[in-house]
Amino acid sequence: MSFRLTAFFILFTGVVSAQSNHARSVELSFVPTINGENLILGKSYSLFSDTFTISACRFYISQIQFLKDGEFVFADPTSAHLVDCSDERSTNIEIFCSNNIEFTRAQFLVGIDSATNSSGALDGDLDPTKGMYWSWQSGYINIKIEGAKTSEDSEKAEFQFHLGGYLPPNLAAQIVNIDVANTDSIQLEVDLEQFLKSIDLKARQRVMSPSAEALILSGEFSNSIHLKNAQ
Amino acid sequence: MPNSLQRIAPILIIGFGLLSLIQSNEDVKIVYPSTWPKPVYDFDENPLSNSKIQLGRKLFYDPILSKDNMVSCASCHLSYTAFTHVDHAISHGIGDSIGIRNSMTLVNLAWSKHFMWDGAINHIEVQALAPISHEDEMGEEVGAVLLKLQSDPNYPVLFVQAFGDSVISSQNMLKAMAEFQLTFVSANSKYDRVLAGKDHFSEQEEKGYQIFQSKCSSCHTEPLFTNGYFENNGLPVDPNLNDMGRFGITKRSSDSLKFKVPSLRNIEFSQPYMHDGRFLSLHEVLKHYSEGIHESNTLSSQLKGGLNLTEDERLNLIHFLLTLTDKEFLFNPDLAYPRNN
Repeated sequence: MSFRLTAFFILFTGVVSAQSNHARSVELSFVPTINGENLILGKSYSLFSDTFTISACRFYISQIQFLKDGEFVFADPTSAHLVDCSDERSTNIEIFCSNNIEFTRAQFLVGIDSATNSSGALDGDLDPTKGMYWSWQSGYINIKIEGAKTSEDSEKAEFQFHLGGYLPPNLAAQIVNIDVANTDSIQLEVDLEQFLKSIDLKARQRVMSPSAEALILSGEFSNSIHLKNAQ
Repeated sequence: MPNSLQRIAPILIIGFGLLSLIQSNEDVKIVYPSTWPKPVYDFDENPLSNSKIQLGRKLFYDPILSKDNMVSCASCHLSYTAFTHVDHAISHGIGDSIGIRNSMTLVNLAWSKHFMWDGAINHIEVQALAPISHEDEMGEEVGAVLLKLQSDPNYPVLFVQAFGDSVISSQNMLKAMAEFQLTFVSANSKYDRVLAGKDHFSEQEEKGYQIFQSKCSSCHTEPLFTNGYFENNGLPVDPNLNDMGRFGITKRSSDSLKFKVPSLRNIEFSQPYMHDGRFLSLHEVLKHYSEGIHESNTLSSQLKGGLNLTEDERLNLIHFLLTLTDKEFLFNPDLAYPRNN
């Protein structure tokens, strides 16, 4: 019995000390914008003399890491975070790290890496029922952007971009580096106007499987992520 | 002493209770010859347990997975016929819909890196997502399946026994189904017994084995009778199906018309043959390899010009192929429909 008690105290103190080591919380927020305003799904926006609505905007953020002067100082243990613009809570990713960590750069992956894509049935944000998994072919949809464009002559065209791919040569996950001061709140703008501008919507309204096109659009999407606040 | 025993009695009872639960749920190990390669599936990381296997078995045979509650995995993968759909060139699903391919046999899956004829699926645990959601197979949303299982009178209890959680997640459902299918080990055919020194080939079987080793085994590699890769075996494209195989997944022209090399184990029972089930008999298959090879850029180099087998060679080869029948596997009651559940 005394051994059990000792074991309990060791466990208990371990938990407490682990908590104190993780006292710092850093929030990584993704703010999708269009026309400079925060995106509202289903709202009509005037862009390039057309009217746009966005009905879905979801993407994975994984492998969040902090660096100081080029050295990795922290890696987020959570394998992936699904950011879904229809669920505001999901757009704020809270990361717990030790108080004594200082960083000058945040790095993350937009999408899911190849190893995770080949790891069988996963749970949490990587649950394949979250609408971000291709069932007919293994692999996560890294980025899902859906909506419609209505041109001046009232012609409506729907667009669907399901971007992903984990097999070479179409490895779609994108590394993003953000130089940022050692702050507890990193706000990142996802400039959908910039993303949509990069696509010739007359030529392609649909990308639904891993391909060279998916690779290009994944790059355009990650390029549209910028630091919003410069605290 | 009696006092202290009394005090710890409840702990002991709970302890023994837990122990018996763990015992009934202890790790299950698949059995295969020591000469076989190491399985691809990581059993050390994911040990099999009896409760998960039995849950997976119930799911495998349950049409609850399909939209109209009519089609189960076993509809196209019947244990007595090498876990495939006999008498149908192309397998069909709910509402008499029809796909584009012949269902594969399910055998020795623990050694498989890729699943489906085009290798679209990269892990056995996520394989079931494809037929469940395919509109020509089970036509159901996986989320809807989970809701049906959750409101079923039996499943939540079985998920507690298997995973300690009555909330049914896709991960647990998929893992249970994978565990059952990982037990589909066929390793006791006459061929296996001959190799183990427990039986003898007839003269014809022996001759057939020699032809097999010289002309077939570079793709249908022993002991699994597949090299696990994708090959173009010289079938002309069916213009109605226009199936490009592996190319549809990788988009590489070098993968055009390549399909997964299927295992030949239990081939006696798995007719019709080929990815589209175009051949009804082994005679037709061997006729194709002898004189029907369609030349194209991605044709397997071993098949250039055809295999040119004589009539005698074909007969002997068939005699050998029939030694790959494993009745212990085909009629294993542990793999059949779970009548007691």
